Amino acid sequence: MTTVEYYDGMTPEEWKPILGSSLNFHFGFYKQGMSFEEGLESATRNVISCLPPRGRLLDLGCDWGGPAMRLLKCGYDVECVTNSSAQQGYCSSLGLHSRVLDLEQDDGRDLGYFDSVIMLESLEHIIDKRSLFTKLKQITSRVVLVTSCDAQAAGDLVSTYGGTMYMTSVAELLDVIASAGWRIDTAVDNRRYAMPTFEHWRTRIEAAYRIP
Amino acid sequence: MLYALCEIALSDAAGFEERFPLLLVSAQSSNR
Repeated sequence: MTTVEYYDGMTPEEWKPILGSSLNFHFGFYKQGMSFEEGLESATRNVISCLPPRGRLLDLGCDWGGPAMRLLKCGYDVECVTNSSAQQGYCSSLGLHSRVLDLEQDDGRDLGYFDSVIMLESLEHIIDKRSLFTKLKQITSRVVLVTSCDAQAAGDLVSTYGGTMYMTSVAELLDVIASAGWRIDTAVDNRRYAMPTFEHWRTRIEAAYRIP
Repeated sequence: MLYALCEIALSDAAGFEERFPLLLVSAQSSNR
């Protein structure tokens, strides 16, 4: 299964009972007592804290546009990119500037230049991460990303999940980014705070599909 | 697929947390 097949396989209305009305399909950042939505909002704030206060921003792998809408409301000039036509159509219906593009196939230069590029759990779906970070230097000078790694991936080897995710170790990922000419300002593991997301998703799936 | 991932993660939360870090990375490039 490809990411496009995965995301186009369900409509936004079918995703909403699971992901919430904002269709924020990302891990939350949960401190004690936070609700499902509060954890998602907290995770978006963590990303915003790494960005300049305003500017032109590319959401690369924008999913259903949840964080992008939040960033738009914060005053960013947001452009969204996805390789799913279903997601692009939905983002467009929200009023987001969006387009279908696969940066593994396209150099992205006609996107223009951005003050920042964010990649929220989309880097996992990129096979050639080294080439991507080289391409990104042509369109921005700042990247903020959230991505899953696999501690058992060794050296240049990647581990895969579901046929759509290609994960490296933390050390390999940071080496890929640095060797492409990027200076890493922040690198922090938030998995511990993201774990309650699984409980929320499972509960919401069970309720939506009446799983006993 | 998402439900299966939840089941995997929650069946051994400590092991999942250790094996799959969720990295927040901020990086800058001076080259344009």
